[in-house]
Amino acid sequence: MPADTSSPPGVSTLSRRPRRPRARRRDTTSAYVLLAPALALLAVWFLYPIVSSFLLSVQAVNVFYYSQRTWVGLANFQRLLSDPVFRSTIRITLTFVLIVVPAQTVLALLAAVLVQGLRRLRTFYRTALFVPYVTSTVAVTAVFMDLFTVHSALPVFFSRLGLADVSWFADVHLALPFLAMIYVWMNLGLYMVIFLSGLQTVPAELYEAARVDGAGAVHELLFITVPSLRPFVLFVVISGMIGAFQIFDQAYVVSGGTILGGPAGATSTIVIFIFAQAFRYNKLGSASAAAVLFLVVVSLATLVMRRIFREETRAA
Amino acid sequence: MRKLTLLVPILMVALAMSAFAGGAQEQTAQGPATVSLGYSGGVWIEKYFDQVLAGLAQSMPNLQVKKVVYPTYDDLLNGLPTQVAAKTNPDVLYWTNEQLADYVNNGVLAPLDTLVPQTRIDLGAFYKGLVQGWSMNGKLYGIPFNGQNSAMVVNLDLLKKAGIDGLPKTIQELGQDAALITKTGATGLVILDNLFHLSQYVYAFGGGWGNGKTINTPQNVQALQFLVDMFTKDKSAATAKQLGAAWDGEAFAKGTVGFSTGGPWYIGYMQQAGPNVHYQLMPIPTASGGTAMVTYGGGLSVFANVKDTRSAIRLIEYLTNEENMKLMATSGLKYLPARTADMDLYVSQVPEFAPLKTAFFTGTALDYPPAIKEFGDELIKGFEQMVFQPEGGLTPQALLSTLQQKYGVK
Repeated sequence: MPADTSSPPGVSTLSRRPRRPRARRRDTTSAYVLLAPALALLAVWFLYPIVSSFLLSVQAVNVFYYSQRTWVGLANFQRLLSDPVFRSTIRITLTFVLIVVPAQTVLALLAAVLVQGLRRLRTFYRTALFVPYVTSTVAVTAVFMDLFTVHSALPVFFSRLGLADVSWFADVHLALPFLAMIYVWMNLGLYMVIFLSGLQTVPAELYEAARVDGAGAVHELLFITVPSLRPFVLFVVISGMIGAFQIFDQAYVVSGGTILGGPAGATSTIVIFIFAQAFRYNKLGSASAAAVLFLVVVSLATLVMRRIFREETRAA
Repeated sequence: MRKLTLLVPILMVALAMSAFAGGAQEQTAQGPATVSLGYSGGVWIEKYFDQVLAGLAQSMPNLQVKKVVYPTYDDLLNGLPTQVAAKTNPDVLYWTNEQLADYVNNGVLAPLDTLVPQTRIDLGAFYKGLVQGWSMNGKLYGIPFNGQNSAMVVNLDLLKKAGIDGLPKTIQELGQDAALITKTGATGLVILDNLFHLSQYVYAFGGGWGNGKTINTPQNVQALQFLVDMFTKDKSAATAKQLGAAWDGEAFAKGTVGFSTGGPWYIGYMQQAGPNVHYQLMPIPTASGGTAMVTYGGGLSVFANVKDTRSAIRLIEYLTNEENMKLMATSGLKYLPARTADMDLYVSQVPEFAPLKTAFFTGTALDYPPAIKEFGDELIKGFEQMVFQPEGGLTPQALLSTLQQKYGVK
């Protein structure tokens, strides 16, 4: 065992905590000093609103007399959970998430594989698919609304496939799929880029070996690409799920001019509900309670997804 | 001499000090009071207020105005509650009375009954319906400024094409005409699915909301059933959104809609968006052959947290004087002034309004329940369910009874 040269002679290293080198302590201090502005901003813009939401969720608030709030315990939560409208928004949001997350994950993966396999115009297609993600949601939604207005080319085309020639966003059965379509189209590019970066990490030898063994493109995708991209799939599914739970902009634009969540509540998602409670009905307590429940649901869903993927990874 | 040389500077200093002191006192006692005036902006309203307020110094030299301009009316409504909570709201507000009940019930507005007698404001000079619209629980919370009203807008070309002679005399006849127009390939009637537009049919059937007292009356049920049937049985009605329009006027301006519930705001819009559409405004026909017209509009209110209410009401007195009201009709704003005496002047400026002139004098105020937003949203949602999901089995009777229970006032 080598002699301890860091301790002064005669002082046992076991008798007290080893002291951190001065340079390291200085680095730590510098790090905190440099992080301080960002931490302060995070506290102001994220921590404070979250804490405020928790507090407001157990208070009765009259927006005109904001300073005169009273504690009501869990009354806001009780009222919310017994509200059929809130329950309906949960059902609608879950439906939306269940449509959107698998669709955008599969389509983004396919798009990434196709773009990766291109020998020419790869940059063009990558950019073209990414552009919707950086385009204004309002503009994209407005364009889609125009495309899917009654008697326009697309509703007429779909009417030949058995759907009615109607304005999709005004139809109680088609409004949610219409939102999902816009949402997937807008986010496809982002997740495609993530999968593209994941594809760079898959060793080319695996594909070469598979080809030697006679594997086709489908087998390569299912047995090499997908398993190799498992961490990327996990990221795309979780971030896609969190994003889909928060659907708001498109639903807000579609509701323009009439009540939020129309027609007949078909697009009334959780965030639309929270927004309406807070800023239309001025019910801040109810809105905050819904926001807290929403946070819990999204956190639980994320934990479940992480657990599923972790166990699958271990099994693999 | 030495005493004199000492006394003169002392006296001069004392004189100067007293002069300064006197001046400051005078400034404090008689200096102009500043009143803030909030309103939502727009090219013509900005020009109008600039022109009006330019004359304030001459008429009321002791009053100054600080303008608080909100970019849009939605911004005004969304921003006000937090401003009131923070006590940063303007003193006087130019707004419409749709949300009056909410503000009055929360004690946010000052009653003007004791302030008005201190001015030359003559409430008798305004349309009764407008004054009624700014009153709640026997108190006045706003001085009418401009008038607005509901009306039926008719596409005369489509009426002719469908072989219909003359305008409908009853609401049932209007429904039959809409069905005939639909047979020509056009849309019989367009409606914007919101509380205001739905309410017009309720009034046409002799009903009303009675500020929450009469939500589920037979007349209201009948009115909703009439509309639902137009959508589901006759297929002669559509929402603006179904026609790919953001609001009813946009759909009507395309020239493919026979009827629309609207108002004078169609006049300017149609000049821009549908100059070739041959249309006419008419009072909404009722089930009994009469006319139903809701009159409402802009008014000036004072907030309850304003300390200098005397100056606030003086500003309102100035804004609603004869000269400024006339200017409202003759300037680019082209609003109907709230004073009955200015009707002919307004019609001379906006001849399209002529068919509505008589009915405006007997117009009635909106009578929404206090929880106007929740009530309206739930009514519309229920209406859309009946129209778009008839298989759901919801009926007008069931919907209105539920609403009566939830939002009714005894």
